[in-house]
Amino acid sequence: MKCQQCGGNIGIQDERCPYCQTPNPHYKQHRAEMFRYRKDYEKTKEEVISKSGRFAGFTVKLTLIAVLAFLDVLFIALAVNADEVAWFLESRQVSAETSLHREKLEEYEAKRDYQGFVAYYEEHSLYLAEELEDFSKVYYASCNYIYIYDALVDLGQEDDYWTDERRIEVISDNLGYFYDELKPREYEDASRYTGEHGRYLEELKEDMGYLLCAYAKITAEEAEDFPVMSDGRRQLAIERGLGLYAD
Amino acid sequence: MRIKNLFFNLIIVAMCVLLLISGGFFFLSLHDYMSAYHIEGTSLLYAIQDEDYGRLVELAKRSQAAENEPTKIQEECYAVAAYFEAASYYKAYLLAGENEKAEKKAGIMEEQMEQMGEFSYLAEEICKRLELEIR
Repeated sequence: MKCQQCGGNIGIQDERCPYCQTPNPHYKQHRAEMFRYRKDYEKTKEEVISKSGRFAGFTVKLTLIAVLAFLDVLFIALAVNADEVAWFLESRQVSAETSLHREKLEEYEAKRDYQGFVAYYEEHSLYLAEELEDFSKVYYASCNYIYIYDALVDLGQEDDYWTDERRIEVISDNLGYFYDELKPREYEDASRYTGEHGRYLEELKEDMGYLLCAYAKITAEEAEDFPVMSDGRRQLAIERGLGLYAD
Repeated sequence: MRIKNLFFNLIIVAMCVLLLISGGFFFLSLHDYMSAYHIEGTSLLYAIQDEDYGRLVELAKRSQAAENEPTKIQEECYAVAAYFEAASYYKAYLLAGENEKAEKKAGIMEEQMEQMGEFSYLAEEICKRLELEIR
């Protein structure tokens, strides 16, 4: 811009011409416009800051609600399925100690400690370990064995609930399961009933015969036939042995 | 705007409460499912008191399988259980003429009797119940 008086160069923001000191006629208008622009700028700035702050607060809350909703759903699902979570965690724990458990089970098996075997197997949830599946037949047969053992050794000890009749029913029912469990099944891997497992199962069957003769007072011949008898005939033989009914 | 804010805050508080409840319930259930079942010494004593030796054997085996450090009284209960178990097989083997097996069980009976402590009087009771001569 040129000074109207001396023709020297002046800026729009200069109040007077730097050469002849003539007042700049555009200066006031420029100053007023600059003031208005600054005011507008500040107002817009404030508005932007306030709006973006509100937006940020809203976004944070929404995000928090979304995260909480996710966690709520997750924990409700976990709480409803806590048994499966425990099952999963326990099987991992059992699998990590398989060799130790195998050693222990073999120890119980070698000692023919039927009750100890079942107690250890159940206490450590070993039914969860696929690696120990070859012990499953020994376990199920031992379980049935100890139900029968408990009832046999308690014969004659009657109370309000446990009468000898009830015990005999338990014995004959479980004998069916016991002898069934001893039979090899088509779908079963041979590792479950051969080798040491096979010898254990044989001795289990033999001991069952001895216990039946001693406590149910059946004859040795009857004990030999027991695996192929029906539940009813077994029950009759035991009742006769104990002299519950006259012939 | 304030009402909207209050609404969001209420939702957040409610969700936090729900999270605490569901999380707490989950961890408690998990603890219940995963914690081992401990046989108390008193259960063993009750079984002895009730002369429920079959149950005593089962409880003793479970307690031993859990591999917890037993108290002196528990050890004595284990000995009673082992004595009864050995005696029950001793009778069965003896009647079946399996003398070698019977002798092994008799050895266990003698061994366990020494460890029965203040319950050693039960040996006589067990033998009487199983119709055995006292060893």
